[in-house]
Amino acid sequence: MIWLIMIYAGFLTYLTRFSMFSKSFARWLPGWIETPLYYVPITMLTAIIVPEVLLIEGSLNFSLSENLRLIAASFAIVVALITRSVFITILSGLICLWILQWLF
Amino acid sequence: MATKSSELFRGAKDILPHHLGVFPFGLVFGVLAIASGLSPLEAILMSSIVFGGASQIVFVQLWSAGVPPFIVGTSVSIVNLRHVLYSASLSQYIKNLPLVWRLILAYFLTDQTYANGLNHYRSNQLSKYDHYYFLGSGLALWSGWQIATIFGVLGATIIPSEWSLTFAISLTFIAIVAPMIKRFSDVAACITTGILAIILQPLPWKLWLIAAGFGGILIGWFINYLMKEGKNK
Repeated sequence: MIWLIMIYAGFLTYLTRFSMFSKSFARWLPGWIETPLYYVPITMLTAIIVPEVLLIEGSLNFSLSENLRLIAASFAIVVALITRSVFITILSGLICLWILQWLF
Repeated sequence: MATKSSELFRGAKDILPHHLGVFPFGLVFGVLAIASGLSPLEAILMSSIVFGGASQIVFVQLWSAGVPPFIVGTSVSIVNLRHVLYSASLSQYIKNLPLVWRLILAYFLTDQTYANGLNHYRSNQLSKYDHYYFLGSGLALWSGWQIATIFGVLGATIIPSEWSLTFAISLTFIAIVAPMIKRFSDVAACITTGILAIILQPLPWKLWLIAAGFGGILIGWFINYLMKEGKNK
C-alpha cells in the first residue's frame, strides 16, 4: 500500500516540477508573466526563511536574548551582502549561532 | 571554453554549500521514517521516488498518525505545489531544450537546485551547456540526499545541535536572497511574504508557504507597476 502512495505522491510531485517545462503548458504563459515571475525566488525563499528564524515553538519571538537564530540570521545577511558567497555566509551564520548558544 | 563536463562539475560544485543544510535534513528523515514504521527499503526508496525534503517528513509523520493513505499522498503533493512556481520561473531558460532534457531536469527541481540554478541563469556566466550545469547540480544534490537518508536509516545518531544545522538551510537561502533585493518592489515583496508567512501558519497542509509566496509576488508586482520600475533581469 505504501508503495502505491509513494508512487502517487512522487508522480504528482514530479508533475509540479515538470509543469512549466512542457511546451504546451508554457505556451499558455503570456508575455507579461515574466514580471511577477521575477519575484518567485525572493518571495518563496523568504517564506521558508522567516518562520524558521522568527518563530520559536510556533510563536513570534523578537527577543534578542532568547531568539539567537534571529541574531545569527541578521549577521548572516550582512555577511551575504558583503561576501556574496553562499559558503562563507552559511559558515559564519552557523559559527555565530554556536558561539551565541555557548555564551548563553 | 565551457564544455559539457566542465559545466556538469561546476553545477555540482556550486550546489555543495547547500548540502550543509540538506544533509542533516536527510538524516532526520531517515530516522523519522524508521520510527514511523517504514522499512529501511521503503525509507531509502522514498528519497528517490518522491525526492522532496520536507514533504517526505510530512509523509512519514502523517503516515504514522494513521491518516488515510490517499490523504497522505495528496498532502505531500500540496506541500510540493511551490515547485510549479519554480518550474514557471525557470521555464524561459529550459523551454527550448529537447523533451528528454526537460523530462530529466524536471526530476531534479528542488528548492536548492532552483535557487542555485536561477542564480546561475541570471548571472553573466552562461554557456550553451547550462542544462549540464543544472544536471550536475541536481545529481550532486540527489546523491547527498540519498546518502543522508541511508545514514539516517542506519541509525546515525542525531547530532545534538541538529536543529541548528537545519538552520543552515535558511542561511543558504539568506545568502541567495539578500543580494537579490535591490529595488523598492523587491523589499515590499520580501516584507509582505515574511508577514504572511507568519500570519498564515495555521493553514493546513503547509498552504501558508505558497499563499505567502503569492501574496509577496502580487505586492511586488503591484509596487513595480506603481513605481514604474520596469523590468529587471
